[in-house]
Amino acid sequence: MNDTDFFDQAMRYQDGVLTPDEIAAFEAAMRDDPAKRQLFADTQVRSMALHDRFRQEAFQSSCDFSRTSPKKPFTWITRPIAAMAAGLVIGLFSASVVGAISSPKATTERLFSLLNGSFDENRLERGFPRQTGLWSGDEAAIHDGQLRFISPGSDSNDPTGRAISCDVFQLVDLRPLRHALSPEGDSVLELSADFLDARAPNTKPSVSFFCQLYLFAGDPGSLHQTWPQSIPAAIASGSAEVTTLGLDDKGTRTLTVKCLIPAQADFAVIQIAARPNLRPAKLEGLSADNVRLSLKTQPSLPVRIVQR
Amino acid sequence: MPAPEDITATLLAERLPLTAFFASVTRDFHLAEDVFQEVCVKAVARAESFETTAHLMNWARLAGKNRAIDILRARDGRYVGLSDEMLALLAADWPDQTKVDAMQEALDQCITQITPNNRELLRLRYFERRNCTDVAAIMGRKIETVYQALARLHKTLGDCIRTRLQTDSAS
Repeated sequence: MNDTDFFDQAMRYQDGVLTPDEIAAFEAAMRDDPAKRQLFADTQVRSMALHDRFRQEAFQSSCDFSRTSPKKPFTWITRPIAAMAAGLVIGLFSASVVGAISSPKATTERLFSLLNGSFDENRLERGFPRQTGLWSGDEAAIHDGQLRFISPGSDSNDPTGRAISCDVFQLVDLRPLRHALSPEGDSVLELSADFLDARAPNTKPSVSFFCQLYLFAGDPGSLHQTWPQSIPAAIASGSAEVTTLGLDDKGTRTLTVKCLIPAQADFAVIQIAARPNLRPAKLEGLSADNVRLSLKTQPSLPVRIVQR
Repeated sequence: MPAPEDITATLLAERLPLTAFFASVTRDFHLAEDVFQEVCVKAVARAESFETTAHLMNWARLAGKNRAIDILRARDGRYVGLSDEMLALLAADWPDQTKVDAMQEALDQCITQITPNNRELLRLRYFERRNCTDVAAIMGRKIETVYQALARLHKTLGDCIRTRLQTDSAS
């Protein structure tokens, strides 16, 4: 198998379309040839790097991370490793829903400090929120118990920034939770939200929904003065996303993100967003609902050794 | 024995190569990231059992691979992918973050040399999580053309990265 054929098979393997016999042949090509194994590893790492790069570009567009690193127009990791380590970033931009790690001792407590998660109350303000317990953000509306995204908006602290996505936020005070946190430091904050793209099937442009969770230390009332430039100061964060092209068989998508809660976390920023992947574009038929915040304490995380 | 904070820092620093390895099982980069999350949580919970960083990394690759296979078996009823033996062979020489850092820097430059159409192809495949059938439909191409284009792009980017790394090391 020459390199061209090998790359072609690698693309089909990534796409999950190789039959067991074809996988066996693909393996045979690698088994006795370290160069082919290296080619495969490099292809996988490059693919993951491309995945990371496009995602970071999307976030960089909406958050203007470049101002935090003026010498380098593109940053691969937008949060400092030290900050990430302090908070153990869990849920890095994952798009699929993961079940909680099962543990007989785990407890899950729905947090009602996130208010109006079902959008039953028609209260929504504009701009980044200045107080906890209130939805506020870009142009959106609460209608029929759902949050309807209406129009992308730019950040008030970045007058030169483009309107990329429609972002809606809520600040949640975490200080009252401290007594409930696991002393082992493995309490997990889990945010989930339902998103619906009710446009006709295969409508372009595609739209990406985001569900993001940032944990900060300090005063929640002052964050609006520095958002989004203050994102790198988050002590932990997680984000999930999904891209849709109108209504499909999967219907409503649930995004879930998780963060271990560092002891110094004072408040959380909940961010839900819809971003059209071609601009300008109207945000019609895009909604969010059922935003939930849960505290999971797992005093004894299980480790399962699987023998194969 | 690494401290828990060192374990966290090590795993986060090695996030990209680890998730790339898990994606060799999942064939889904988002799912690979989910597996990475679970591995991080499990690693912190059993911090005292790791004797060295190498021990931690070997454990992480094995635990993530097993978890990925479990997820696929639960979801699809079976796992069709590279064998345990092949995954072990690959793991033995899997790139670490030091190599990946250099590769990312080079990729940053190399990706500016591809056409907007090819860039969109990569974005649909690796960011929007489209399979090649969807990519072909969206871009109005035949699926065989998409496979060939992706293969060619990987070869082009790989050659470009290698050339840049060799140039950098020579200078």
